[in-house]
Amino acid sequence: MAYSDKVVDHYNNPRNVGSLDKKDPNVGTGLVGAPECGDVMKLQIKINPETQVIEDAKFKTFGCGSAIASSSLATEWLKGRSVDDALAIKNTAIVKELNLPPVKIHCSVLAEDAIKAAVRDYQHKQTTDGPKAEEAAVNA
Amino acid sequence: MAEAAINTGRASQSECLYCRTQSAGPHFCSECGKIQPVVAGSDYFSFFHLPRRLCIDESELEKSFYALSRQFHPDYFMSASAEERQASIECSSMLNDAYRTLRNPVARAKYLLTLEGYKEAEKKAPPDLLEEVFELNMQIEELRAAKKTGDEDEAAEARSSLEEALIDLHKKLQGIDERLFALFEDWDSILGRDATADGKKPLLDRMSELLSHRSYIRNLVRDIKEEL
Repeated sequence: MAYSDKVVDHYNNPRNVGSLDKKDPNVGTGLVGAPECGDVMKLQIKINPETQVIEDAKFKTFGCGSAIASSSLATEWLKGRSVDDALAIKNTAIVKELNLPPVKIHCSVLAEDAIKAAVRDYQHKQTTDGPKAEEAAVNA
Repeated sequence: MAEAAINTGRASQSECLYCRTQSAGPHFCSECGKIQPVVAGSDYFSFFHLPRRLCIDESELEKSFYALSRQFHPDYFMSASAEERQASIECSSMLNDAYRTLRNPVARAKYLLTLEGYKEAEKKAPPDLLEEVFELNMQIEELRAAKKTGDEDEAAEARSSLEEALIDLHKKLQGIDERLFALFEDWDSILGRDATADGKKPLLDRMSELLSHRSYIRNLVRDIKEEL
């Protein structure tokens, strides 16, 4: 099975690899995995508290080319979106953009899960008070 | 699915394809002795006439496997009708799949979960497990990078840290397997008491969760060993 050109491109030149300070109250961290293949994906977003717009997104994925490409693409799409718009990103859009074959659809699902987890983490930090927020960040 | 879950281990008997006897045996007709196609809806347990228990006598299973292998062997049906030849191939193939799955306790439990309607591996993992998997993957990557640049000290350090992690992971695997086998016994005992779906669910949920943790750790152990 051959990877699509777009997957190969993201795999060879992954965008936004790295990490953000997970203790930062404006950073949301999502860490998800797929037990069967052993893939793990960490996706982080940094939200501008004034505008509620995602101004930065980083990821680090250990897994196959499709998992790396899915999360790389996700970070590209996340930048400049509002938090609500981030939640509107569906795995099917990733499948379409990257031309993922049916056996690799779970990689796009993982990326969607990671986005949701990151947003949830950010929202959780906003609803908890100062010292608690810090604690949540440590446990994130 | 729910109906199949109350399976008592006997493949449903049906009409013989050849002599039309009503209660033809599951693999061979009790009247004319001819080989029957695989009964529709049969699973690996019923194919071996086994109830859906998880603690099974693996040496008994092996014996049945060899006995049935001989009976089904396509070589014995070279001069038989096309239907019988087809049935012998079908039965042999099902037998091989069934044996490969049931002889291994983990594969057996995973198979039971699919029969009980658990379509996908449990994805939820405790955050600390995911964190550990992520961290160790980072270390594997560091070791790979150190090897590439020829930094011996760095590589040695990463290697010893991963070796230490490996010992801990093996302990974790052992712990998981012990808990899994305890669940096997619980499962078998509720099965003997005509378990309801409500009674089964918590056990199956826990099994699914443990199997998922096990997969994470197994994959990690494999990746670490590959890089060491």
